[in-house]
Amino acid sequence: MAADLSQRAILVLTSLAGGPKHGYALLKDVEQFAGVTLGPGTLYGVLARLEDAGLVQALAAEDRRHPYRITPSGTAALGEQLTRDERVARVGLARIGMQPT
Amino acid sequence: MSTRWTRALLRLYPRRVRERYGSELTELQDELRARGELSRIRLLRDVIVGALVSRTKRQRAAFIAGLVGAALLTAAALGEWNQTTPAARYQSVAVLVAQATPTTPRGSVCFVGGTQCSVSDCTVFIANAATVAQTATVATTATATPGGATTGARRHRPAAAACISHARVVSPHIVFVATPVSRARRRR
Repeated sequence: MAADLSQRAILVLTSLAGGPKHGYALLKDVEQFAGVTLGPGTLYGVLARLEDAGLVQALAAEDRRHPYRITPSGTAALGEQLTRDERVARVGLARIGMQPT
Repeated sequence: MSTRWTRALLRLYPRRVRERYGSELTELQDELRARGELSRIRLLRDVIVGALVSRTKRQRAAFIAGLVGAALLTAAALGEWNQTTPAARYQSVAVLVAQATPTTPRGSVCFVGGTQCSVSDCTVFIANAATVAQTATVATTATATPGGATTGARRHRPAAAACISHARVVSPHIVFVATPVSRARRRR
């Protein structure tokens, strides 16, 4: 999992990197910083895979809803993935004549 | 879409996901539905995507095969149902034999020409002022009631009659033939 994170997994991990969140807060945060509207079904599908891989962890329930947090492994995996993506983005932008912002 | 529906859709997920996240997921779906932020179509699409995402690559192939199989079975069942149940709608055809008079105002006729009401065609018809047998399709449909095609035709009579009265036709002879719309489509 850590070798190649899906786009949705990156969005969820990036959101959780800002602090633990429950489902609704996660959806809204992703929508705000990425402009991507994840559905609840997709979100919990991604969370299931990430939790299986040990990249996120459920915290004690608050008002019947579990907040989720990123684990140290999740932080490392996200860091690796974003670094790879950034490298590719820099090369790609340079080759099409656009400077990375 | 009710909680019952969201719980039914939950069955698309693997059991471990249902047991672990099921209540949270349906609660969030219902919350978004209540806020008007999740349409039925989006909910269905989202559940299918989520069910795919929550599976490993190998499991996904089996899941897709299952979905395709279920879709084919549903289509087959619907096709069978369509052939064995009465049509829900009928299309009436009114055969009109009419005589236009010189006093009929030009452009006031609303049938003629074998199709729906057409003012321009009627202008020519009135100019000839002859007895003409015309076939006009009255493009109305009605919900069928138990009793079959005859009942469907009767239900169309008011709509056809309205068209004819506006046409100021003399001595109309009307024959209604009601054809189930679904059968007519199959013939084409």
